[in-house]
Amino acid sequence: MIINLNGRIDSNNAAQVENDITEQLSGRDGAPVEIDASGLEYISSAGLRVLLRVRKTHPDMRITGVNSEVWEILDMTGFTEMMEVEKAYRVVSIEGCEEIGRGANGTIYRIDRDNVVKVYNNADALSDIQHEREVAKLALILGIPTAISYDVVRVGESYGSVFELLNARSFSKILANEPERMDWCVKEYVDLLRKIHATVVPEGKLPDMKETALSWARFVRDYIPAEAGDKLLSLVEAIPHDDHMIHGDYHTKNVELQNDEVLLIDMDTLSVGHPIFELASMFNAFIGFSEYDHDNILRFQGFDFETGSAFWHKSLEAYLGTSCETKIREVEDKARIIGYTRMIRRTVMRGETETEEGREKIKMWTEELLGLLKKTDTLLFSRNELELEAVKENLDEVQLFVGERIEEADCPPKAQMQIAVAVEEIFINIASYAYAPDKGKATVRVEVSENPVTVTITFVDHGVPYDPLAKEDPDVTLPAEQREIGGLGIFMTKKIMDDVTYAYRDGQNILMLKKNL
Amino acid sequence: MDYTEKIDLHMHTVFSDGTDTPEEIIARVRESGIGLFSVTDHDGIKAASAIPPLLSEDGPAFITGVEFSCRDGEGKYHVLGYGYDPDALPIRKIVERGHRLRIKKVRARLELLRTNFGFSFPREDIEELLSQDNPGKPHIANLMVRLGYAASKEQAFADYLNRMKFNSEYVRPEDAIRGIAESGGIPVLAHPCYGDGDQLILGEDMDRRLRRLTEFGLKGVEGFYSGFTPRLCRETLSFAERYGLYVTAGSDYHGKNKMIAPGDTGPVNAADAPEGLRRFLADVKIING
Amino acid sequence: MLNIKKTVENGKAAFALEGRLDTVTAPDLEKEIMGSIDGVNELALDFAGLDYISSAGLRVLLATQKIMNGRGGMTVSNVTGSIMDIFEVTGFSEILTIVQAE
Repeated sequence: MIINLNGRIDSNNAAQVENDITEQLSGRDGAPVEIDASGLEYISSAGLRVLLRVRKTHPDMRITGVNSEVWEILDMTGFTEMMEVEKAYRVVSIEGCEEIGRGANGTIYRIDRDNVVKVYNNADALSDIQHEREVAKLALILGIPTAISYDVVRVGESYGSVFELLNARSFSKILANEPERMDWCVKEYVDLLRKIHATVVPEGKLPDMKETALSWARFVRDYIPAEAGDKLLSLVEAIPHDDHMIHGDYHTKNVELQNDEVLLIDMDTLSVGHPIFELASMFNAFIGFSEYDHDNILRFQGFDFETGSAFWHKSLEAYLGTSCETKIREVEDKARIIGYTRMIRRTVMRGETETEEGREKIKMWTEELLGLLKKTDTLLFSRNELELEAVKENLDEVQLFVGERIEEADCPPKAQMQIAVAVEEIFINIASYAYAPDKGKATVRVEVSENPVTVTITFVDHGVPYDPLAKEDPDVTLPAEQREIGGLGIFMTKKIMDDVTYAYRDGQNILMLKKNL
Repeated sequence: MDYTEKIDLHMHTVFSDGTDTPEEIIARVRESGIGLFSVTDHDGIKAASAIPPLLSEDGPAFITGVEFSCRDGEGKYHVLGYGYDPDALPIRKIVERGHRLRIKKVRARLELLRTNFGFSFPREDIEELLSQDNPGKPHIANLMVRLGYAASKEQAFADYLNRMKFNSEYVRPEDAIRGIAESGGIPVLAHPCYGDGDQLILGEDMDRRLRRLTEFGLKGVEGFYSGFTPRLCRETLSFAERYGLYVTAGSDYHGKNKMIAPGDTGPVNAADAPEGLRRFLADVKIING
Repeated sequence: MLNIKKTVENGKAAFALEGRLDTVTAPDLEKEIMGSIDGVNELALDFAGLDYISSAGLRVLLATQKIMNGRGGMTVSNVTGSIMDIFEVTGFSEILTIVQAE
């Protein structure tokens, strides 16, 4: 029920206005009421009292289209804290504006040098806008660099949210125009991704990606042989709940370089879940969607299929923290399973089975999917690299990380304990001295190779240059009174591990520990 | 006095611009579960004598009340008076002065309507008008409609009554406050954030206003009012605390003339009655049946 | 995690350790020992429940050994294989008095 208010409301006409409203609302006690104040120029306290009386019988009352003067009055008197009061939206045109990004819910245009507007596809977008705003705020609070919308505007028949995004270029643009910067792009892209995946989200704040993926699997199950379908579903079900953040649409058009800062935009699809879901959507973005028609990615991202594939491959390598091709291929295959599942569903839902092309795509993806399902027993994977703050408190996390990796390699318990001691000595050393008195980050990388089975643990920090091997070994034959503790940790490490090497490169201390199992 | 009871200290009857008779208002008050009420007719104290004989032992209890419309160079005020002795001279003088000034104003209005628009009013009608307790613009408007000078009450206001500007005399707030106090009553400022129909008085303006009025002897503020948002209520209560004033609660019930329910005193949780309200209920003269 | 069970009787203090003696828990052991050391001239450490020791733990052992050398003596019993290896590699097997407990 919408009631329009126009002109002025003061003691002269307040009674009349109240009668009008009462008449319009007669017999509809308790119904939701929207007071459209777009035509209202001014309201006095007499008018305010009328509104308050209306609200008593319609507690869901909201006021919209409020101009700034009326807003002042409503705010000062406490109306804005009692009920929903919406300001009138200014109108913005996107004619002639460059499209710089596209998300699931809307398209992003640059409206001037400093600002972009995301125009939502759905005309009823206000709740989406509100949601995305809250999500962006949440992400920012949790430490993810992103832009927050500062204004909501009307664009044509729909709404848009305006962001300040000065002088920014998407990574897609950089890849398309400056191919020599690919390695730099990969590094920044993966750093941000790691940061996102390391962020824990309080319960209930973001949707659970697993639920979505399950719905895809259930859908596709009807389109493939029963055995494969059941396996697909059980593989997805076996993925544990994970309350770390995932972006959901992490492609290079959503990563912007603003001056020197890397920003994430388009928070539509932010969720929580296991990173395999993220890798699946990334695979689709760079390869999956364009496997059938290589020009697709050129149209969507601005760079060609080869560039996209190379970028994907390098990113996956950097993300996993390993150069082992087998491992990379393995993880990619897991991502493809979910990726193809999604694309099959999407294609069917869009009615593309009606076309020759649609049917061929589905056939292609289904064949791949079935092949992958045969040889995959789990969609879980582990990253080989952990980056965190080098502080004593993080020792447990490092031990857990290393412990999990070497357990996968069936490391005997005695060696496990020894490796743990070495890890503690090195990590505590970094935490205590590398950046003192400040703090800094350390990276721990664990790789397991076969034939013979060897565990290689690499510690990297960018603190003061320090070669632990340069120190002389302590004299272990001295009696207690003459013994010193200094240097014992490194000494123990050298004795425990089969090989210890040190290098200083690009401002980084790199210490590599090897042990044969 | 059990202040967890419902109270409504701001109500109007046929003695001013409400539609309920004394019997009817007592019935409404009882129906609404209100345990303590006051009738605060505009510029008249007839209810203070009419109501007490009608009270019964099983409640509700009653406080004599009045609402004076005052004005001075700084603005307009509605000053409420509670617990006064209706036979006391000081307050009767104020009522009488108010009445006299109103008659003067009605006459002046009628005169202007005659000279500016050619509307003439028969003598019996004028006398009938003036014999009302509180003749004012609404009564003139009704008369104009009856005489065919305006199609409706609203039109009478819009085209004629609201367009005439002239100086008039009003009862000054310090006089009303003194009159109430000298008659054993407690002077209270009605809905302080709303001066008259259109004004909004907040923050520093409110501060200045209250300081002036308390110097004249104002003792309380109407902190709970049907037309308050929680914020306005909070603001008024904080001033009461700052100046150590009484706090009252009222709806401004007018019967069928306004969409206000008896007992609707806005955002109030009777269980957390502020100190100012508790003190008021302890100090004011309450009449039981 | 480190659980310390302490018994003190007639100048003899016995500590039974369970868990890990690392950079996080070593200070706890140090505090426990320092708080009970008055009037004690025999200290017995039972490592039956200990499954991990790092240089931080060795530091506490060394410091305690030095103190007890001046007062009486200190023994370490029920040392598991991996921890024994560490003692040997670091020469602590010579510094500490390692015994087989009853």
